[in-house]
Amino acid sequence: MFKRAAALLLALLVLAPVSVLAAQTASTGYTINIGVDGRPQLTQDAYLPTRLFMDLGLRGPKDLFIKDDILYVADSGNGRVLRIPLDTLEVEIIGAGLLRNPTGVAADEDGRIYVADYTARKAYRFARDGSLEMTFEKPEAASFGRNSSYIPLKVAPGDGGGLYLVNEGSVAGIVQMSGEGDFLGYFAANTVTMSLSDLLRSIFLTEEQQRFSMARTPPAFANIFRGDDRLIYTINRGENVAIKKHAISGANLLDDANARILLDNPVDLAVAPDGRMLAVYTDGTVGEYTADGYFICLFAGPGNRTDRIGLFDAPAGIGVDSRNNIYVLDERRQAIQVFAPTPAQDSLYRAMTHYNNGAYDDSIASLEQVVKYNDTSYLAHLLLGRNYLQKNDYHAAEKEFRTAGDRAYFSQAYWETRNLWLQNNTGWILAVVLVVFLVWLGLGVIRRFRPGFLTRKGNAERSQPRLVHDLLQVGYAVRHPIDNYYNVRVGLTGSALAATVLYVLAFVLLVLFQVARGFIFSVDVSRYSLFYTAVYFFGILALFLAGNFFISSINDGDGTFRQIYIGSAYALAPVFLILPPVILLSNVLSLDESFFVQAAMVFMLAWTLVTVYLMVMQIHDYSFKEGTASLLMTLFFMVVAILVGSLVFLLLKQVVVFVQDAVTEVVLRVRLR
Amino acid sequence: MSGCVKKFVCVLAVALALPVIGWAEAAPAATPNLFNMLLPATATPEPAPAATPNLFDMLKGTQAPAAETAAPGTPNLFDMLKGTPAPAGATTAPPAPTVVPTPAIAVARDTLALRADLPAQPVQNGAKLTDSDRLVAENARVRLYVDEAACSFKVEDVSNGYLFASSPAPERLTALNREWQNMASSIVVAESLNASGTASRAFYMADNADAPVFTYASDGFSVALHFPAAQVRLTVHVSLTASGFAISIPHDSIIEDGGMYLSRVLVLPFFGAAEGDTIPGYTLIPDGSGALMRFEKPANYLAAFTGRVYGQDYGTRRPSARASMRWAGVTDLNLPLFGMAHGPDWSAYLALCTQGEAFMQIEASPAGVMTQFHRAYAAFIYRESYSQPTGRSSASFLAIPPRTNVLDVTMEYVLLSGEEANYSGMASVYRQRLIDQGILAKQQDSEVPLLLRVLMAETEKGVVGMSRLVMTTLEQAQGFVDTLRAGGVRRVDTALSGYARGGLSAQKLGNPALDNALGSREAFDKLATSVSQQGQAYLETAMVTGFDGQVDRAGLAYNVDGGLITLDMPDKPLFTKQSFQNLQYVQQTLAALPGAPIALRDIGNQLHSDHRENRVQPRAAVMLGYAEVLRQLNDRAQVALFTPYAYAFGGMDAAMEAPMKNSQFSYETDTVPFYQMVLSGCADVFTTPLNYGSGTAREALQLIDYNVSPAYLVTYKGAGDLRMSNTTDLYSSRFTDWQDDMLAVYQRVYEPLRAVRGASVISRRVPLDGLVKLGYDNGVVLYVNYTASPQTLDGLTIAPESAVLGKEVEQ
Repeated sequence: MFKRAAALLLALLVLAPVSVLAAQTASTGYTINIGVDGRPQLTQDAYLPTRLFMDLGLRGPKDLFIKDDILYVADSGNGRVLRIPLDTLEVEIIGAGLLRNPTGVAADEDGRIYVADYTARKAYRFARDGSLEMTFEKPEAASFGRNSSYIPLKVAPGDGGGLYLVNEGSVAGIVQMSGEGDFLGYFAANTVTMSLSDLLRSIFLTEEQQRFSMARTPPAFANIFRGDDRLIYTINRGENVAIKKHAISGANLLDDANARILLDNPVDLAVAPDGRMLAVYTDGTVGEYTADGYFICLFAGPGNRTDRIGLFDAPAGIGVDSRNNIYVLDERRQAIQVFAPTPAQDSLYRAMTHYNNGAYDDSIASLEQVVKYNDTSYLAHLLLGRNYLQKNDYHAAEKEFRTAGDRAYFSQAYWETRNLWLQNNTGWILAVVLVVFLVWLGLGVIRRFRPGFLTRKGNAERSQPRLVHDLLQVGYAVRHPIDNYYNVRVGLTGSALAATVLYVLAFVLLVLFQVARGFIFSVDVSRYSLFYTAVYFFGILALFLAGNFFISSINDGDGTFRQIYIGSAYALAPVFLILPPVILLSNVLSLDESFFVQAAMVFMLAWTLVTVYLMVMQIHDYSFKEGTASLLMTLFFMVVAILVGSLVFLLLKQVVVFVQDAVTEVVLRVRLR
Repeated sequence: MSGCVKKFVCVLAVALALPVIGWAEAAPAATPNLFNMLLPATATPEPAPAATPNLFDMLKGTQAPAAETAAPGTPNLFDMLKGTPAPAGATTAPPAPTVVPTPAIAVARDTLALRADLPAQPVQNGAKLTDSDRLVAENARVRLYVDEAACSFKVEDVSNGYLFASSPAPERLTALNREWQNMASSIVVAESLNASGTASRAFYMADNADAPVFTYASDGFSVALHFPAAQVRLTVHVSLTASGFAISIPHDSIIEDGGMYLSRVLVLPFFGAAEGDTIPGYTLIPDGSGALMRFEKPANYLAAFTGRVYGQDYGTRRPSARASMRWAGVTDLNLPLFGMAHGPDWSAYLALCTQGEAFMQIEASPAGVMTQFHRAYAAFIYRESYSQPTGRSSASFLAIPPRTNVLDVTMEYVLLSGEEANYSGMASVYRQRLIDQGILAKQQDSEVPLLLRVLMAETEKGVVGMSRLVMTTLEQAQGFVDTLRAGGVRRVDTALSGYARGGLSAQKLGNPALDNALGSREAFDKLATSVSQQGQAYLETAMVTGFDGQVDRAGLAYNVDGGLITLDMPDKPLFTKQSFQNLQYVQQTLAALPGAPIALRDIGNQLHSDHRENRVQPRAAVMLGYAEVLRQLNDRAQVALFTPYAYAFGGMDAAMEAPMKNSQFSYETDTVPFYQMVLSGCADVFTTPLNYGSGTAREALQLIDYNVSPAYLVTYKGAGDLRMSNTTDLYSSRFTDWQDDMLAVYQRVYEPLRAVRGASVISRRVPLDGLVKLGYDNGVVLYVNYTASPQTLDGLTIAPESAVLGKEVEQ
């Protein structure tokens, strides 16, 4: 999954504002999902803005909540809560005269209404009929903290008339209170994450300095929601935050969810009855996620101070009703926008519901509708694959996961198909092994009577061209590296041409290693750049050769550049030995066996290091100590060379830009005046 | 000791080698983007070092260029008009906050559903004559009254005695501040720029202004006005026409006599303005397909509507590339007109621009923005300040163009009354006018077409270099046509794009030569012949804009800032910049085209001035040039244009991608097919491709309601194959996925659309919520029920989500 994440990071933007051909939307904002290439892409409208409540007389409303198809609005500026059943649309006013600045509102399954009043610094519970039932004052309990502030901002219903509060300015966690107003404790406290630089600072700074320079406060909660599954969902403030779904213990159940997309400055969240999660961000974007944290789509967006429907200027709350309509409250426009799902989006919901109910064939049928509307949806293909996986149709699953580009799931399906293949073909495999064994036995028997039968001994005496000889010396280099480097040094072995061929061969192997390792291990060919691979490989090689030559020249090294060039080529011998079987093997391994590949690679690298080290020692006739120093200095040279190179490049660029700007500006000023 | 060193060396070397062996996993170099690498740190926010990505950042893109914010702290008229908050000290005071009482029942505006029309009724509380109004001209239809002291006038529709006033009665303006009182009392307002590019408004009733000088003629009057704050003098002519009046400002009459630069002139900013909901009615703006703004109580809106007729001029204002790709841009104003109905079905006017439309803006404001009036007016641009970049870095200064736009302004106000006093009447008047001018012609009766746009080939990024990606061969396209025919489609029109060497994003603009990788010339001839038995086989190409390899570098158009006009698309995988051709190049290329049917993607909806030194082509000249060359092309070839603006109507037989929606501002209370109504009976009109739509039943019903034919954009291969090409916006293009839908939609729309082929809509009504009744000039009446329940009207029951054909009952 890491690859997917990295690819997403890279993707930045794949879409341009102006379409060449077809991009269109019946809405005001495009809908975006993740494509099978792991990048955001335009897709068909998921929701259309259908209705707009403009005339509710709201003033600076701060929260919106929907439960059992009853809409609640915290009409903060007017100091009241509106309760509007979505079938009758009768407006009922609650808490007028009592509430001062309600910033959060929620309700439970009994219809009781919970309100957080920011200015009054109280929370309230109202009965279904709107009468006040309970006032939640600042807890007296010592465990709350005598000096802790109590500023209810957002609220979610607890059990038995209790509640969960987002307490402004508190870092200890969500405040949990009982139906009688007793403090039950802090829930799901955020933790401080320590970055590498924090870690370094904590090592090197004094305690005093740390207090001064290091913010140790955990992120604050932005909002809270209690789903129909009775779980608590929260979001933090700030950038790069994720929706959290808390178990009873407070632990985040979504912590390791794959393919998660982080949110920027979310304002409010809501969870649909089927577990889908929705969040609206400060800039007006609405994001939708599956119950297990996969990204479904983004829609809506910033209104940029225009009155276009379906876009927002200061979104404050989001809710979803039983028909999957989404309600978004805009504080600046003082209006509520309703979105209705399109048929394609409905198909997606049906597919997810069928999947959860084990109706895999129905789910597949619905997903085929989704795919018809968007052939390149990662989520649709992933869900298709999962359905097939559940149906034990591993070949179909494999195909879908390959389309989705999901290597982890593909590997699961592949393991199954490979297993089936092995089971079905055990007879053949055993037969082949047996035949090979028999032939080997037979050869042994024959050779006892006719030595040299079918061996290369007979050809050995024939003289080889120098190039072929030099190339074949790689085998010798594997077995006797030190002797081989001696031969290089004295000119018995190796030529510039042969070394060049070896380098090219190594490069070809490297490319194959990246693109020809089967779907599970290879990089995505479509975004693979041969050019940059070449630049990296030959660039680092050139730096090493040059570095080693310069360093050894000033350190009494004996080797000439030619010898280093040839010697380094032979130092790559382990690569020629290990990479080809690894490449072949990778084509039949699943992710579970990736350990073998990794082990082989580590072994190869270590071995190569040893051969490089031996090469340096032999070619320059260094002692162990000198060799070590030379290698380290070569590395240092390479790093410095890269740094200096980039610096020079940047400086030159700055100079060029400066001169260009100055000249242009002068010319323009003259022309326009 | 040595072991320790060895270990260290090992670790170091592994660290160094890892990037080589395993760098693909660490991705950064896998698709290296030099552009990003070279950006200064401030330009791209560093992605957070989290393992999970942030889609949000990816989509946000960089901010729009800072050009429009170049003069911070100074009130910038452009920003004010756009709706960005005016900086402190701006000339306009904010209106008092609108207090809305909370209703007992929450009423939602159904933004997608159709609201029933207001009932027809006489309007009593329109403008009234006062003692100071003097009759200065009259004809059989119109009387013109002038109040010299107030410098205002009124026109009376003789047929029903209804009056439209250039300004509301003074006693209705007391709630406004001085500036807005002036604005509301003016017949013309001048806006000017000072030397540093700051815009301000000027009024002729200012204390230091010379008094207006009236001159009378038999059919009207002219008045010379002085705007001291703008240091401008100009003369306004008002004269009666057969069915209304015309107001014009000749360019010769404009005298700039100071250090100010005239930037815009607003014409009749409060003509027919209606206060709150005191008068039932609406404003019509040609936003996309068309939008009505009903006269409702003042509501909490953020900004008024403002839009440039025929879209932005990229020659004077650079396109802001990736300002936001997430919200769809506003739809363009395709027609140089707007209208207002009081009643409706009582009195209305259609304001048509007959001169100066290339520099025209339409501004329309609902009650609640600045004033309590609903109003609409035209503004004409003489100069626009622009951001002059001073090099490759983002530095720039605000500059004023050395030349003013040369334009004579004429707006013609056509009065409509009774049955005609609505948007249907306005559409009919405008259509008839275009027919009279020979721009539109009534179409022959023909079969209902289904347009199949086919993407043939594209250029894609390969492991090494670029390669050709054939999405559909000619043989496969033939298969599509045969399939549809066999399925019952009577007429298939095809438009092949990406047909020439290089495919969609790399073929030369206007290159008519087929790429033989798609199939043989015979295969093409066979396709063309079989399609043209009933339909048209178009080749589809862009003509004005193209990527690097597509354009002719010798024929590029320049921005007023001296650089080429370009549109950056940094996120496209292959080509990241589009350039724009100049008029001369477009003329030459179009003239060289053979007489085969051709569909032009951009010339009908892309109008930019060209500012190459010593060869400046103003927008008006480009507009006339396009119109002329299209007319010539159309004389010898079948021409289809995409979303054509009105200037191109004279050079086309078919309009593709007709706008099916408007910008959807919340004050746009109704979406109407005004654009389609104008073209109805005069051209083949096709919808935007349905396979990228939302798939709702509403889409098919809209085809019938709007009288447009279905269109699809398809390929043989799946859209996923295009992901490494520049065409990343096709996501659902495989023909086989859609063929059943095509047949079903065609079946559904065939009968009603067949009945009105070649006929023009003369009335469109919404008698009940979600039920449309259309009257055609061949006597056919169509009912379209958008709702999910059966509706009864005129003794007919219309099933849910369906259309019914009826003959007009003789009255």
